[in-house]
Amino acid sequence: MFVIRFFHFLLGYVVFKAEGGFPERFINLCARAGIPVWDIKCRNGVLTGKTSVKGYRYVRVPARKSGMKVRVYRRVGVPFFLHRYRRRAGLLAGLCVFALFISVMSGMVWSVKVEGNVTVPDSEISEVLERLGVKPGIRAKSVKASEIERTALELLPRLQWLAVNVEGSTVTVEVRERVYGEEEEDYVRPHHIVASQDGVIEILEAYEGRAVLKIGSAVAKGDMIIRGITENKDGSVAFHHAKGYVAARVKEKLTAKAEKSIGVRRLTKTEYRLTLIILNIKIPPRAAKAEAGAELYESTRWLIAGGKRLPVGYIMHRSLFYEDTVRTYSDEEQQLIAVRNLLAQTSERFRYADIMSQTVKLVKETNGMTAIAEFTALRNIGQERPFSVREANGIEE
Amino acid sequence: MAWSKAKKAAGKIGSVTERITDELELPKNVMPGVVHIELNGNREAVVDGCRGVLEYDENVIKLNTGKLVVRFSGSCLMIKTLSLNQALVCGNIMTIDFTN
Repeated sequence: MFVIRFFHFLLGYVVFKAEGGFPERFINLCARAGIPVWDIKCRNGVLTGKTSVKGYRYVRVPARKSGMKVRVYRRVGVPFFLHRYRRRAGLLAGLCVFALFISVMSGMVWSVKVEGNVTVPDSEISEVLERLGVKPGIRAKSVKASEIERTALELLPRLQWLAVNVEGSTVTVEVRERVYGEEEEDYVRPHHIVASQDGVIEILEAYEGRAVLKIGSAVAKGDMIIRGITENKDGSVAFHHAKGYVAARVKEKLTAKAEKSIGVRRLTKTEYRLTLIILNIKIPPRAAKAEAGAELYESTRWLIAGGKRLPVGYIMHRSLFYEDTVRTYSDEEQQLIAVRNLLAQTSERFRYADIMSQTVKLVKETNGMTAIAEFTALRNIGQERPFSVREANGIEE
Repeated sequence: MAWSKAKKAAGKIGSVTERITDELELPKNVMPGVVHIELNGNREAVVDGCRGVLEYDENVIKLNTGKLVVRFSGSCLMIKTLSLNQALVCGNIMTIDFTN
């Protein structure tokens, strides 16, 4: 019934009322004349019915013959709507433009979505796709998926698999990243463990190989601590990948300086400029350039509707103008800066070490302040060093 | 023979075409001029072979079907559609009467 009603609405119909005379005769004459009349109700001698636009023109003859007086009660449907607004050319033009817009836009790519990537950034994949012609604003039918997939995989070696799916106005690119196997430790080449810095050994644990020093021994940088060669009872030698833990008490000195006066840049002015993007078309099309003495920053924002990115957005160009000045710090400020710099260095340097003792002193100089710190710390100083062996004569290199 | 005698005793029933259809055990609706009424509950009646409207009111609709006059009575009755030989009667149909 809905379909019939919809068609009636589309073609338009007239609701009429007829009174006086003979309703039955009127209905019969209409039926005989082939005038489509439906939803006929007769209440208290008043007949209400519906007829088509064309049918209403002919309904007067049966009405006259049956002595009934017919009048229009309501006009319903698209033809009447269009007739009402026939003088409004703008409305018609708007409808045409809207229909054209919908038909054109539905066949275009609005957004390109990348899914399934973890380490390879979206921008890298999007850039390659853009080079291959997959970008907002192109016709969806022009996307040759298999060709793009093949070429994109060649250009993106970190991807193992890539699929281009065109779903309406969205191109979804599904990717799987290549999984690299872990690098195996070099167990084939023999290694010694040597000291990475000067110190006094506090803990020495040799898991593989032979320790050549003892706890309490002083070592210099590069001294061998665990040897990767062991001698067998029969006089032959065995080569090992020496393993062990060597913690030594080390002394280290850190210095951090704070300048009395430094050149700084002061922000004086900020200028904003907008560029509208509609389907990859930029308005204005001229790319923004950084003015002399200014830094240019750009940020792009897209319109999102229902979780989907629309092909409409803007680029905000921010030009920052700086002025070079010199800033002078007081003694207290210099002290604070020096100590802050020292702390930053300390936390970085002793991240994997245990500080046993420390002394800090501040030295005032003509052009600033220097913080000097001396540390005694327990640190793992064992460092693997490979060595090669000439088997022919058994000479170690 | 007994059947034909009984028929003769009952008098002439129907026309020649009706009797032939009876003899051949054909469906009644293949006969020309026979009204075909299809009811959907008591809400809707499709009348095929309607030749005109004799009376039309919200309580009574009387349709001419040639040999018979079909009278629908009830409430809120209306003719949904009407064409040359078909009518669709809607509403709350309480009784249907047939008269010659």
